[in-house]
Amino acid sequence: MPEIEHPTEELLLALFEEQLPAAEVEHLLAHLDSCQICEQRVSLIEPAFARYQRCRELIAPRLPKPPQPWGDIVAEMQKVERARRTVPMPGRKRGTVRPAWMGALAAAVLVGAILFWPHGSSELRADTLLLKARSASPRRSPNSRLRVRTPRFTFLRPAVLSDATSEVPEMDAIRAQFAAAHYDWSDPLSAGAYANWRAKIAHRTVEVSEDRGQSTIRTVADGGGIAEASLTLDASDLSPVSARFVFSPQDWVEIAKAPDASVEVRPLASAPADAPVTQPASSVEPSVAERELMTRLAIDRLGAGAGEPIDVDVEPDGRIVVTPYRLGELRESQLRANLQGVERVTVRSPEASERQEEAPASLAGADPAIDASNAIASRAHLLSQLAERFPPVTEAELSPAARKDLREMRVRHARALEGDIDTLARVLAQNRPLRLSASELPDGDPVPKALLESAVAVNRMVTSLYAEKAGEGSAWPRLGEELARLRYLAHQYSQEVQR
Amino acid sequence: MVPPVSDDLSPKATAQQRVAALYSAARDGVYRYLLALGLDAARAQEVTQDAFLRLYVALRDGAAIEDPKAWVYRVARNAGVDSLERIGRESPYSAAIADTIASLAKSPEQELIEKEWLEGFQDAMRSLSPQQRACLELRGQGLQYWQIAEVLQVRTSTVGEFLRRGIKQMKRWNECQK
Repeated sequence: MPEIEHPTEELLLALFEEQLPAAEVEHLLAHLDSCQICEQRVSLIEPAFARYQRCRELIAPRLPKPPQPWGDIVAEMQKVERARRTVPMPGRKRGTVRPAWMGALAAAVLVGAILFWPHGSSELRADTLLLKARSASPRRSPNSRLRVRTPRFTFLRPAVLSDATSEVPEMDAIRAQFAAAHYDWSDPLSAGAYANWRAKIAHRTVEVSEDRGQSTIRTVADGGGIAEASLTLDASDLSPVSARFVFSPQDWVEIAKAPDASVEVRPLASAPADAPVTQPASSVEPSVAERELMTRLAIDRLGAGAGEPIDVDVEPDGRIVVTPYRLGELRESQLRANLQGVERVTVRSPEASERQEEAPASLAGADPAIDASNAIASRAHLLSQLAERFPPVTEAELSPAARKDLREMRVRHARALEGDIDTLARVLAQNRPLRLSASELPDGDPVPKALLESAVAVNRMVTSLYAEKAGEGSAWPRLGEELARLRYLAHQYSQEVQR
Repeated sequence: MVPPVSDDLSPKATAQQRVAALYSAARDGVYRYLLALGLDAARAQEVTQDAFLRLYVALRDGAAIEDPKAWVYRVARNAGVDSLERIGRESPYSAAIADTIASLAKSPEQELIEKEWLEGFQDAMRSLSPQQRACLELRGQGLQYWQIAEVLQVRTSTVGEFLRRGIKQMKRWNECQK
């Protein structure tokens, strides 16, 4: 068993007094996580921790108690099990009192209903989802609108068309296409229209996937006008959010919910697909999403990689607040310069008086493997943030130039991520043979969230192995497996964003 | 410091047993964490229970969850932050600190020292970012650094930075008082 090297007192003190390089902090914290002796030493060296704990104890009796007795988790889990067969719809009557468990139960039951179906029964899951979505479908206001996008143009239309609704010529062409495919164009973003179309398809395959509170049913038809149709539902109330219809690789239609019109809705003039969605004439300034993207691009231009902790918060009033946590004065000035021209952005320096301490002399890590895995985790964080902040519907609202910038940023970091992973694999292999082989690779479309989870797992394994100098342990094969999974996901994602 | 929750759950234990064991051990911590985030008691309790049920659903679905405790905190945090955005209210946590300070106002010498600490604590809680506050609270609950990173979805080194700033803030205030 290797002898454990405990950090010196000076180093432990420095951990909470100075800005150490990120790799060194990772190393020390990994050690503290596994060494009670050093954890005790920290308590003695840094009395503020003990003081903080005492304060927590003092206020504990005055914190509000849970208003109701804690629920019986076992009973509730059994309810969830039973609900797999009979799923109550969420929602409640106005004015009724809801026990604390009910919100949890409604959500969990719904999640359970969506997630619990046995693997391999996608048809059953799709039918059940559609059935529930149809019975839950809310009455839409006359001002409900849809955003329709095709390779040639984008326009807004009422959610439900009546005979009296006038249409632009382009819409006539699409309506004819949908009619030929036996899909109800008058109310296309509805579970009913989708279910009725599915019922007419003799030969089909279906997939149901869940991601970030949304469920997507994807049906691939063997024959008929629509080759593939996907309907995405909001898992909280099963309302349709968006749909995509593929007639051929070059011919597709995307439909998404758009903000309600405050006045009578008429279809707007068509515009090229590369142009932004038509906006009211008064709306000439960049949207919040566009300003957020400009902000993130400005940060990206710092060349700091994704490694620097810089928060970007969008306030409810549309103001954007950037908080750099570890930029030196020079680079913070550079950030401010980069942000010039982006409206309503504030750079927040919560501890401006500490600037003289910023900018550690070197960010070089204690070990190239830790450096590489840190870089991987950082990039995966960035890609995940981009995916979260700019989902397809938001992306579609960006200007062509902004969409191009967003794509280029994704491609750049996705490629760099692949390079970082190769670097890590090389560095690890120099120490010990590493078999990159995953017994089970993930199915379905790779998503940045899965990438992030895998990258964080790899980062933690590498940090633990190297920080503890315990690289000979059984963790090594697990690292090989996770790294293989990460490489697979990164490659898939890179291909996807370059498409 | 509150000891970390034991993970000695039998591999053969059913998902229900695993969740029930964790629920019993960690629900108060999750609830308190949500209070510290700024949720009111009713919502904090609802979100806490919801997070454990979601864990059950995920485990039953075969999800590979390496650390269920960190997973529950993360899910609760995400739901809690969503609630905060909608509610936008002041934290009952701040009220508890203020109440505690008021209750110590006419107390013996030892309590006066603690009152000063609490005032530093109150000041730090006001001036720290939500993430820094979250780091301190989670660490106070005994979560390991990597678990906190998992809950907040940041790097471990960022957790270290958040903690450093939080501690520094508290020390600075107490030094100002001397």
